Amino acid sequence: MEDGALIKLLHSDKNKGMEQVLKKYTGFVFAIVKSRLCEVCDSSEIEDCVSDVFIRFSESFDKYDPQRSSLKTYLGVMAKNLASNAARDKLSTMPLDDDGMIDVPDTFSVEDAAAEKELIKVVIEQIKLLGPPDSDIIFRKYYIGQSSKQIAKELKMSVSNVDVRAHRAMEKLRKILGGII
Amino acid sequence: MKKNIEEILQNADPAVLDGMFDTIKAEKIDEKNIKNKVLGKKSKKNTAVWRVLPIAVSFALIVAAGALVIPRLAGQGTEDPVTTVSTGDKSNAAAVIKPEKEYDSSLNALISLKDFDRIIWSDDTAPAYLPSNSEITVYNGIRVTKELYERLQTAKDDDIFAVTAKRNIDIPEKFEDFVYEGKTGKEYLDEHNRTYPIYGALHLLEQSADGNTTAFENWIRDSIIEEQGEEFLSKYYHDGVFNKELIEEDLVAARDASEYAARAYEAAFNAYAAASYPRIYAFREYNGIEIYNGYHAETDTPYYIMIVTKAQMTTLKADYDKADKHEVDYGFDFENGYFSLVPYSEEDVRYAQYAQNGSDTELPAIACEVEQIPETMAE
Repeated sequence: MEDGALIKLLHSDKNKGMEQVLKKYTGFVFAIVKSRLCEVCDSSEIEDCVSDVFIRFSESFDKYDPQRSSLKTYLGVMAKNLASNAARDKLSTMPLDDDGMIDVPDTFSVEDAAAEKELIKVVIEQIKLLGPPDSDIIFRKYYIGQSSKQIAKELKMSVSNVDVRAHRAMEKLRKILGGII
Repeated sequence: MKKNIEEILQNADPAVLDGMFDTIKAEKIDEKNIKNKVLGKKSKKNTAVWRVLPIAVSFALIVAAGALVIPRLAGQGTEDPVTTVSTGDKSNAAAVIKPEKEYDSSLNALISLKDFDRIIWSDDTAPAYLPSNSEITVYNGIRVTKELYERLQTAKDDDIFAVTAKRNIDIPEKFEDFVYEGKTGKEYLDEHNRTYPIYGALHLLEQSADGNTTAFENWIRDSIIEEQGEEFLSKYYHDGVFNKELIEEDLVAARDASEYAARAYEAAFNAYAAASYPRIYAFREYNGIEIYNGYHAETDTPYYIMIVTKAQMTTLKADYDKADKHEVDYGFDFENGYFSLVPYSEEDVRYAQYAQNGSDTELPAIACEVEQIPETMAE
């Protein structure tokens, strides 16, 4: 069932609509949540988090705007955010990967919401411009939170290849973003 | 200032991330637990019962034997709540399981085998009800797949097997090809799929016309045009004005048509289910064999799963021969059919294990395998 029809169904019959959303996206949401939580949570906690994503969506699908993003992206973001929260609940501090650091000029203020939004947009545009598989590797590694091993498995590459490409892609991003910002 | 890219991306809006998730592959998981948590039990019961009734009825026929057999399979007759029917009176199992309602939660007793982990499954990943690629051979007078034969050879008498019985009868493998009252299953399904969206579109138009949605939003209009065409929409919405009278009139007709199509589909599916079951439940009185309803959601195919010990397998033929002649019609055809192991990964089996370990004890396994039908049609 296409997203448009799904949303239509959600509005006319929420229960039936959610069944279809679950049918179509449970595996996808599970993949994202698992990527984020597999090292800190057990399977039942992962399952709870996946359920929370859909419960949250069912409570707020009115806010979803199909003009702005696909339903897959919308659920993907929701899954990633809830999984991150769950991971934070498990760990007092989330370890930050030094390799993922980029320079942001001092003039940039994170309090400035509009500027932050712009920064996010620019960073993502640049990630997309890296092209596959690098854009995919960076997105998976730094947004979804997949390990190099997981990425290698899914993109059918060696782990070392993933690490090397990620490192080089980050260097490229630092260079590009440093110049732009 | 150094900033972590992960931190930057943290608050990214879905709009800027569109397309980035495209390569994330969905994982194959059993979505039932999640479905249950999200949708809750109530909706599942309501919708599932609608289609599961015939299955439940035939299921009831085998429950009597099942209730008597479980302690035997479990190796002991203890008063374990998961293996005890609701009154706890096993000697009167038939009375206990006689369904007073449409289905009975005591059916769960059947899927709560304590010995679940001991069951021997097929290594084959193909659904067990399809014709086997495995060679067919004979074991103690009954035809079995080679895989089952080999496992029986090395098994102990009390080893437990999950098997299904197949008949070489003239029933299509898929419901889509099954002919019922002159129409194929696919035709019934297509009609159901054709009428329901019309009802859905009119329902949305009615809501929009009544001002129950914030506006007649673009996406609603676009999706109606996409599914039903511009001509359809222009009948009910023209120059920014809804033809409320016509919408309401057609909504009633569309609802009736979709209900009719749904019921016709239900009848055809029931006929298919009845025809395609291997009627192995006839053995229950002679062998005390536990039988589950299997249901393969992907192909919309019902079948039975027997939980049987090696010793029971060994005596099947002899017991069958002892059966009354009138039972033959309801029994398995030893001459033409064969037994094969059931793969563990099949949906129904996985759910059975969930039901054993999980907390959702009120939900019959058979119910959650059934594709959901809109409640409006189920009523």
